[in-house]
Amino acid sequence: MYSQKFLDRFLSPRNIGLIKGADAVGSAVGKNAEQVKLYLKVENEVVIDAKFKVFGSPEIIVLFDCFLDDLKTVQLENLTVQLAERGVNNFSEIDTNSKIEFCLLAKDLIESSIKDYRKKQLRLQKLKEQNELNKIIETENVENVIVTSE
Amino acid sequence: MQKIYLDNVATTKVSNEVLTEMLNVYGESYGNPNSLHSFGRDSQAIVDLARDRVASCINANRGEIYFTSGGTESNNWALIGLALANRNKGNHIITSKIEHESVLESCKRLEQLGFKITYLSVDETGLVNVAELLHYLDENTVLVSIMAANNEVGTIQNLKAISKIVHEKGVLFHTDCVQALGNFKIDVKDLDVDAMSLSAHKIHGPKGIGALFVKNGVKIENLIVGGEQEKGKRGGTLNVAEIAGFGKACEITSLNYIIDCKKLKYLRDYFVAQIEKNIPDITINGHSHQKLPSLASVSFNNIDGKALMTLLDLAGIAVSTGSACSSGSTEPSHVLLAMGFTPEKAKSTIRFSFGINNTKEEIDYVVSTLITNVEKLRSLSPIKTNKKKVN
Repeated sequence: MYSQKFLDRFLSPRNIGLIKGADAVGSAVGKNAEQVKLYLKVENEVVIDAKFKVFGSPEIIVLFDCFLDDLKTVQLENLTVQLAERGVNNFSEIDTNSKIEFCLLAKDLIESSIKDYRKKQLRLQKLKEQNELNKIIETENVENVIVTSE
Repeated sequence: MQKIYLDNVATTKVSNEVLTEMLNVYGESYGNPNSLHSFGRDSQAIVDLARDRVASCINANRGEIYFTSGGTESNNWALIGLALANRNKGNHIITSKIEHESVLESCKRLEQLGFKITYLSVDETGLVNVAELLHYLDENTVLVSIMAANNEVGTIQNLKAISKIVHEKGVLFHTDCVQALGNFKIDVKDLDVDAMSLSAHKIHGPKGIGALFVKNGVKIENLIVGGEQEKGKRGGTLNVAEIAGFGKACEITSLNYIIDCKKLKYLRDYFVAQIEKNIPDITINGHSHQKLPSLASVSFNNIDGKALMTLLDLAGIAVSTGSACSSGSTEPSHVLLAMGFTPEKAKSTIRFSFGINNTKEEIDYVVSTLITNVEKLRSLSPIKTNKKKVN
């Protein structure tokens, strides 16, 4: 049923795992109950590492594992479902239904990951701004103390 | 690598005695049973003997047994043939949500022909809601069809109670006994059924042959026309060799089913005890005791059943994720969803069905392979596992 190339990926997926402190965590649930979670490390809007966890059929496991090969060094603006679709025909034994399910999951996963990244970035930005503001206030307070004591 | 077959609910190995019976026919008795010459009469005698054996297996009369191409045809014929023959009495049919596709699709066909179908719910063990049946039976109901034992979880229905309720309302009762035959005593008179579907390949007979029991006096329209075979009710040259094989399989089943079922139950119960002891976060599905002795439906929570099945297959172990008829589908099983499973739990479910040739040593190997592979797949899963094991 499955080629050696397929089984090789299925038995030893290269990109399984999670990234602690990931810059983006996305998740998707398929119509047939598949679940995928994606962890991205991003630097200067470029993906530098990607890992995933999956509850799905052998086909879904293999397709996502191959997709993640292509993710590293991808610019976030180029992280689209078209990138995922490029790999669906690499294994002739994968049926059409599985390919469709993979593409739908990949689309949701990418959207969810980018949304999470942007949300985290915004929070970081706000934190940075708040810290700077706090520094300014602190400096002002110190100056006021000095003036007062004078 | 050893190969272990644990998919006997999908099909069984043809027994040596059945094979011998069939080879004799292929080799020696090749006449058409409808022919008037000696070659034909010879084949006809073989068919008659087989028919007697099938009838005897379920305590039916010979004239009530009609050979078909298998369980699917028998179910199609029962539903469509009985509905059309009795449509002057009404157009309402009742069945259950967990029937085999051949029953459900036949019902869809009947809906297109103007029949109204009610699909009864089942509880979390797979038992049909009898109160619901009583509620839906009305003056337009002409037929109720409920399977004797489910092929995915093994739950055995309360057929006698259902039959009593149905007949009190003057409605016909059909039961799909394809999976049940050989697993407990089937007596059409005791169960008081009007029609019953049977199949040979579930009892170590050949694939491609089955039977429909139709009680004397019950009207049924033909499904297949064009020939006077089977008293004009089912056209087509009889497959004498397969019929002979079916008859032989029924004869052996009648003699051995009690001992065989004891062995199957022992193997199944041993398997269940071992996996409950060694693998956390699993569920054993179906009824606790009203269940086929050979079947264990197990949900390995948080992992995909097809992925697990593939790993087991690579280790030489054959199981299935649902019915063989739907194993190519990516959707969760309709039976498990009807029992209230979430789609996730339904997808995590594997069916193990033992045969009389399986051994305890084989089961030990299966259990150790399962332990390794369940752990492997759980390490890939984004869903957390409950580490508690059943003691």
